[in-house]
This record gives sequence, structure tokens and C-alpha cells, in this order.
Amino acid sequence: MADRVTVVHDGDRSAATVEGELVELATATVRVRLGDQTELPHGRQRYVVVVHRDPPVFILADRIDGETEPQMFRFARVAKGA
Amino acid sequence: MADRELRSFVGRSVVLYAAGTTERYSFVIDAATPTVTVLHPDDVDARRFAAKLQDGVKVTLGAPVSDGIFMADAQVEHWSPTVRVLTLSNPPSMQHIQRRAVFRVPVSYRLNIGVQRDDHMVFSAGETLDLSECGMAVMAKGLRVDPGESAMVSVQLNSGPLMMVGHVIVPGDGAYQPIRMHIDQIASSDFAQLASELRQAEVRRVRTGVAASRG
Repeated sequence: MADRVTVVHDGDRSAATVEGELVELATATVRVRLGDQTELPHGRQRYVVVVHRDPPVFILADRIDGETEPQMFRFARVAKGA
Repeated sequence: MADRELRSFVGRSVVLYAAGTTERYSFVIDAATPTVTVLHPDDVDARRFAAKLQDGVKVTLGAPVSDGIFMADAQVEHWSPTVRVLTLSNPPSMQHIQRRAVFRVPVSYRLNIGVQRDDHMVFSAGETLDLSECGMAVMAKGLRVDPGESAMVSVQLNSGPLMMVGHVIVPGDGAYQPIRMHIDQIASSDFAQLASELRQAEVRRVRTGVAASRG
């Protein structure tokens, strides 16, 4: 059974979330399938993908375009800076 | 940072501990001459600690600063229980030990912290008490976290929101004690933005301090 994920992005006043499931977790990228009719906000690139494991995995990532499969989204990990 | 004379810490809180122990006790320096330093305990625990000290025992003094701590070894001269005053022989100077590569800047920004609870995310609003390129102290009332727990943080800087991932170092108490966090993941461009904003905040703080001292 696939791990559940939460994709977090900055809303207007607070953090907003989208639920989905993990498809692939690679060294540099993460692919997730989000719920039917779910859209991520236009113009927003930076997200935190949380894979619900014990302990949870938090991934700061940028969205990558180019996914053709419906409801599939791909993110690239951003460089560690601190 | 150069070493400092102990008398420059008069009126400030310092921590005191005995050699080979980890418990630290809070004292305030009342006076310091070139030969002796006079302190009073800051709370009941410190008073009990002082009452157990025997004359001639070696203790270590520590005075935290923004990027580390000034430390010195001193010798107990006398504890006066009636006036609750501890007298120490004066060390020649306080040696600066740099613990942090970056300065914590006392700035207040609104933020959201997200942690996992039972397979979903829970968010709390809060604000920073201080912030550096490596971490932050956060007040988020009602949020209980564990040491080492990962969290997503979104800080509302003046220049725009900044998302990062960190982990809890000190969990706080959800009410009055701040949560201390280390930043683990931040985008390179956001890191530059954070550093720039912190420099501006530090300059504003110094200017305000200079203006106040002139006024």
C-alpha cells in the first residue's frame, strides 16, 4: 500500500494542504498522485512534501512541469542551505 | 571577540556550576573589583547550590552572548547565608568561546509551523523571538513538540514568505518557553533572502540603539 502524502504550500494567510499518495521517492525527486480534480495553485513553485511514515519524511521541493499522467505531480528537492 | 573583564557583566545574569557537573544555576553579578566578584542567587535552586559550596572550591562562571558564551574559572571565597551573597575570587578575564557560526537576531516575524499528528498535518501560528541563518526561537502557544521532531515552517519575512524544513532542538512548553529549531532544508535563493533580511534587521537594531543612547 502506498504511503500517504501531504503537499503543503503557502496560502494567502496560512499554510494550505493537498492530500495524496506517494508514487516514487528518489534521491532528487518525488512523484505523488493527488486526489481527483485536485489542482495545485498556479504560479506557486515551492512546496513541502510530507510522506506520512514513522518518523515522517519532510521534503522541501520545487514543482517540476511535464507530467502528462492525470493527477500526477513531480517535485525536485531543493538544495540544503543551512 | 576579545576576552572581557568580569566587571563588564555587573548587573547581568550568569550561570555558575561546579567542576565535573552539568547542573547550571543562575546568579546575578552585583559587583566586581579586580580581586573579587559578588553575586546573588537568582532563584531557590541557585541559593541551595550556593549554600552547599565550601570555601576554596573551584566553580565555573558562564555569561551567554549572542554567538557563544564568556567563561572563566573562579574560586569560592565565601557564602553569606544571611545576606544571600556569594563572593568569588576574580578570574583575570572572561574567555570568549564561540559556539555559533552565526548571530541570532532578535526579530519578530509571523510564521506557521506544521507537524505530523496521526497521519495528517497540524498547523500552529506563532512568531519568531530570534532568527539566524541556522535556526530560530519560536513562540507558538499550544503547540507541543518533541526534541528531534521534524517540522515544516513558513516564515512571513518583510520580503515575502519563506518555506523551510527544520527539526526541534528544545521543545519549549507550549506556553512561555520558546521552541528552538534548527533549519535543515532551505532553498539557496531563500537562504540569501533570509541572510539579507537579517542583516537589515541587525542594522536597524544597531541604529535604534545608537539613536536611543544619543537621545
